[in-house]
Amino acid sequence: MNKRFVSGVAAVMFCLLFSVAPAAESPHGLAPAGDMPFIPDLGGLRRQSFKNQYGQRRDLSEAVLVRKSVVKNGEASVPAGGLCYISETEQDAAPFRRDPFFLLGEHAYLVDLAQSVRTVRDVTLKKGEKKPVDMAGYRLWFDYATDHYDLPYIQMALIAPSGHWPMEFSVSSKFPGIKDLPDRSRLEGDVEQLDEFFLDPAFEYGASRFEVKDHDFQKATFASLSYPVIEEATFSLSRPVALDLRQEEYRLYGAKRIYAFRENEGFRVRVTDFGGDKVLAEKVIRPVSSQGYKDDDKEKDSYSLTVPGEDMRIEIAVQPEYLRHSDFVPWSTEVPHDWKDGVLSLIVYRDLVTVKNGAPWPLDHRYIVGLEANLLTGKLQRLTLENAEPFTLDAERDAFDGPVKHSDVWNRPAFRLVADDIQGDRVRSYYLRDAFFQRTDNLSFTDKGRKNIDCFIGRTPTFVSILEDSFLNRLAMPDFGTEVQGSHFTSFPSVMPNMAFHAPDPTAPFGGLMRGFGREQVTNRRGERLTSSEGLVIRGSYVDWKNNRIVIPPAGLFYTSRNARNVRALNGETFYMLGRRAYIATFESTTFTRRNFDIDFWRVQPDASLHPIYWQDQPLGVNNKVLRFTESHLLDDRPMAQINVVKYSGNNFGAPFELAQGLSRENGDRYYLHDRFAEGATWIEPEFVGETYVRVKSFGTPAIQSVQYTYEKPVRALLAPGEEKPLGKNHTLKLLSFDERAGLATVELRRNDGSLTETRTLGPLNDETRAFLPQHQRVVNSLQFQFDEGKNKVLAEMDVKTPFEKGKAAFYTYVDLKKLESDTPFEGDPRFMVRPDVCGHCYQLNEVLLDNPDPIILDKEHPRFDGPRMADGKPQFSIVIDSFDGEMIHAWHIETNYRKRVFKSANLAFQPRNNIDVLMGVNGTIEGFLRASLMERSAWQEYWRTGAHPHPERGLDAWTALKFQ
Amino acid sequence: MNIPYETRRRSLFSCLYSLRESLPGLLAMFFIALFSNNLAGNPNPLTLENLFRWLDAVIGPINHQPLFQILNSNFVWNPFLMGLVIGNVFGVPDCWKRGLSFIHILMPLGIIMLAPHFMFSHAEKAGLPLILAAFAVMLFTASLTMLLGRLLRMDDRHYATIAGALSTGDPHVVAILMPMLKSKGGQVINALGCVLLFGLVTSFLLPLLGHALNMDDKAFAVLSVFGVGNTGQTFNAAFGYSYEAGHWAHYVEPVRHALMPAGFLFVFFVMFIRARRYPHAENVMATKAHKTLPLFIVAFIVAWIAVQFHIVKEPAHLAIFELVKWDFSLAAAALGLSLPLREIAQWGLRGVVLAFASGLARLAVLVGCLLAAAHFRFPII
Amino acid sequence: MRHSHTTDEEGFNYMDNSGQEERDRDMVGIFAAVALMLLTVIVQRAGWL
Repeated sequence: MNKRFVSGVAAVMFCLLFSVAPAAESPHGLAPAGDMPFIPDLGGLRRQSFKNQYGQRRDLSEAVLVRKSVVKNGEASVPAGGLCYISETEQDAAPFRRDPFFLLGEHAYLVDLAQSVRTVRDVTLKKGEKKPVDMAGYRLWFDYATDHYDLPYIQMALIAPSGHWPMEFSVSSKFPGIKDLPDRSRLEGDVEQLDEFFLDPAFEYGASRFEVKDHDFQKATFASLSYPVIEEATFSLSRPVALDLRQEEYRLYGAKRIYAFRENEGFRVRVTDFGGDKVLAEKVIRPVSSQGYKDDDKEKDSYSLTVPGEDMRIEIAVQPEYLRHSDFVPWSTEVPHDWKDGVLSLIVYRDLVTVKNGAPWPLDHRYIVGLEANLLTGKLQRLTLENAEPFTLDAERDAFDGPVKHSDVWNRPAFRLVADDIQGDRVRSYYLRDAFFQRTDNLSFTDKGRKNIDCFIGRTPTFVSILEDSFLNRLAMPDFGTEVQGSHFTSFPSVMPNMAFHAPDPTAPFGGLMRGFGREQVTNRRGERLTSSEGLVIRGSYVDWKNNRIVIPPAGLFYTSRNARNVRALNGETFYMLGRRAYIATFESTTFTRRNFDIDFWRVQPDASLHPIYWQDQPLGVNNKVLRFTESHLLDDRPMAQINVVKYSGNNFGAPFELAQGLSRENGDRYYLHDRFAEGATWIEPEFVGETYVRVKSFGTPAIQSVQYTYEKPVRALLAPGEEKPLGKNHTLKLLSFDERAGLATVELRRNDGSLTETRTLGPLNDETRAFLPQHQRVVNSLQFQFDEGKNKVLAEMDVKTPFEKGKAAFYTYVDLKKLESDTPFEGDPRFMVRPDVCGHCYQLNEVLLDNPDPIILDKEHPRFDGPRMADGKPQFSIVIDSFDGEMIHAWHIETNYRKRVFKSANLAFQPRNNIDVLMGVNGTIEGFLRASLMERSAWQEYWRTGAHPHPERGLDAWTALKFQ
Repeated sequence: MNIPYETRRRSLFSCLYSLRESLPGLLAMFFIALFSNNLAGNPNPLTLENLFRWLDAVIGPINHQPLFQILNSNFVWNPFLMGLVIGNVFGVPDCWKRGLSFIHILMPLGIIMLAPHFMFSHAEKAGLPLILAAFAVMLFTASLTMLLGRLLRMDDRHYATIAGALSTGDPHVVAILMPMLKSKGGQVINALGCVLLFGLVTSFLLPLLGHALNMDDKAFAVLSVFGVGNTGQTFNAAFGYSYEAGHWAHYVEPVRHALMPAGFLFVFFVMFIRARRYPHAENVMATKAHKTLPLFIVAFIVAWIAVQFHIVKEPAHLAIFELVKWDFSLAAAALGLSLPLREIAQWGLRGVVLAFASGLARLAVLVGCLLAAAHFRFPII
Repeated sequence: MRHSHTTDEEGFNYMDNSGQEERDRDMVGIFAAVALMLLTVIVQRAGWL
């Protein structure tokens, strides 16, 4: 009967589910299936770097994406917009720069853009939601919410219809904004924890602006979202024709004459027929130059002449003679200054194609064009072509043609999606064929088949953001075993003196979850569930082939323990400490401040190794953090700097500082960025923002000195005045008196042998002090009573949740306290140094790192290194070299001790390696490294799957290809 | 009239002839190489290698492996094929022939420079039991093939070439053995065809056997590496069985590689000693022309021993291997030009019988060993 | 018997390899191989590779 009841309920639920199911959701901005196949290379989908007219690098790539498809009853159905071609530039494309762009495999130049800014008001959404905000398919994503002083702040992203988003931004309406940042330029050195927490309600990002009106932890309402959109773009499909300009004279262009008459403000350009009698077009145009504002709608018209009905667009350029028929620029300064001398040329763009956002693709009306702007610069970054109508593939019709491409030879479909073996609800064979008839491997990798035909073919950067929800699973739980990428062997060992603040080799194998490295959900006293996890990172290791040994440099091996957010006192929060659950008792932090210093823009330093040199880094205290100036742009010729705080682990702080001076939306500037920046307790106030250097007037960020923790679970004690409670074996806690209204409690702690007694009044715990909880250590310390020293240290703290109950006062007591003090040897194993990492927002413990202060040498005689010892004296993990010939590592693995058993990882040199860099376990630190190399790692997974060899990439090429951090 | 070499010899370098004599032939080899392989420093995209790659992509992978890789297209095969087509369609002009004779310089040159490729330390990771077993199976195959070859009354150069290529599991060995055994071009190519045909057939059939015997992935990987060989065909068999087997095949492949010189040197020395013992026997042809142990073999052995001490560090090894590719591309072009098709056919189908008989015997032995290992729970890798 | 592919008008057969000529060819090959390998190793050790 029970069974019948259950099945009845299930049937009702089923009906309900389907009766209220909404119509199929638009796939715009949404991710494909998390387990979809990724094929990095297919000949017809290009990936190449070019230089534009000014020698600036443009990295172009193309991809085909299928998402939200379903296989059912022998049919694979793809919704409208589910099949998407993406052509993307990593930078952007703007007029008057001859920026290259791919159009379905054809090299094209962007010659004109119609841009505008779309503003959407009053958008409300719930946490986790990706809410469509306009008809084009942009979505606002409410990814994450956390708190400071118990007030919420939220992390958001604006997702373009393709699925791309450049960065997550934090906003809050509950805190003082950046404009409230006081002048702190007098502060220098370590100062105590500051009270203010800054978060602006508006995130300013060049051409974009997102302003939150109100929010809590679960819901947010945005007053406005402004972001750039591209209405129309014109491309030229051929190299432009360059004719030397001769004033008061004409040049022949085919059967036309192009005259140029000099005038004060430029040249009057006249286009006539062959005889010169019939004027086809005439206009005064100025020579183009590099100032960014010239592509503004108001300005751009005076720099080009379009001849109606003639497929001609004329510009005048000044450029060196060798550039006239070429994209070849022998050097690149990455700075778009004009050529100082050269010849004046008439540049005639032909084979023009104009596409409109949201309109059909001119050659194939089954596809709709999407044009997406770079949210920072407002220029074109992406062109998408999506199927306008849904389609299905089945036994009768097993292929769907992609959009028809322009070609010099034969306009034909740029690709073809084929699903030729669908049985029931599974597809067993599907693939993509490109315009050169080359196909991918069967995308249904296993005999089981797939329930959808989602896939991503090609290497556009959108891949990284589109997989944000699922990338960790993809990498941590690979279907085909632990992928190991063979090393490129160089003549020089890439010796690193110290690996602090550096990321591991991007090819380091990722072992994923492994028994012995804990990962679990923990709940604090407030009932908040947090993931707590630990891992191991080896970075900067190398084979010293001249001495037949493997070296892990100082700070090259670290144990990391981290929670999903910072670890807070007074809440009974736990973190992993070498496989055991540790309870945080208290912490000690300061504010590190610096003033009047310079940061140079960081450029790639070729050193033939995969470790770039960061000599421009500015240290923030000793082994705390460093500042790194990572990106520089000109926004209408105003320099804009992106500065990152880099953690000891080599990961970036979540919020980069985007700074530019002298911009104002009120004065009509197209861009706006804050001229100083503050998020949480970290702030930066520049004196001057330049293209290649920033002079900082004042800067501050938290630094953590120590934390105290215990392995014993804190015990709650409810005491009436005069009542006592033993605190461990050697101590006793006694409540002397309390004042519930004032929030005060006076307690005594004594050694049981009577040799030491102390009395302290804890509190006050009132509204005023609660406003600084749980983060402010002044308040935290006022509620905690530390007693005795060394191994006998105990602590009693007021229960901040329910301090007084039934005429009694409540306390949490901690015994057997241990201390982690920054830059001191770890108590449990002095071979390792303690490097606690602080939350840049809030002074709390963010991560516990234990690393090696001295190099670790492994060779034939010493093939094993034991990691930090756990409480039972056994190492948590060991590094074991199984086969090393002095030059190549052929086999090595990691062993862990877990519940009296030894677990071994896979061979981490399955393909020969020249280092033992590795990522084991899964936590935020490791996630950061993985995200930075996601595309390459996914590509290697694919090579690994089929046993293919990746393209050889060496030296600087390898660096730029791997593109980490 | 041809003036005997001894008469025109002035020094060691007389074998290079004059530039005028040799240039046309050298250019012929050079251009065939340029249009065959993507060689280091060759920017030409219109190569046979690229054509095959494109065809691979159009046809689509088989067991995730490119078809032409399964057919063993490689840097020796491509220029050979092109030379063969040119030679058979257009003939070989006389003026090329002095230059083409450089094949006899290029062959020892390439063989010696292959030495850094065979690093024993790369195989160590597989463990001594597997290495010894592989070694034993290799010698067994070589001996059995030579024995069966004799029983089949084949030319000893022909069956020794098959023995070398089949036992080492590497078709390149036919080219390496050519100057060692003094075999005919037709025998070399015939042997190559036999070994490749055997590999092709077994690489598709072996997974069926593996499934029938319910073999472990690692065991099947070992079976495909040592039972099928021919790299691309190994992977076809292993990936045809499972992804895991495919990965382990990649892992075990270096063992086969490291043992390879032992295999072809074994075949050479057996034939060499035999030729010394029966100097007047009519049916003893292999190595007979060598009066003494050829110096280039000594040089190869010395180089092979030397490189085990990591004298040639990794990127240098890659650079040398690029030179080897150039070298064998040129030599294979000359070889291809030298062969009328009938000369390949003239050696008949007995080689196929031999390759299959011997190869199947090896498979049976390997399967027996692997099943025994599984039965006694002996860890293979 | 004249061999159309390998023998020229003068009777020079480029696939023939014997006697002093063979020894010379072997020696040249050995010299070239050793020289190229040495050169590569020296170039690498000198830091140019």
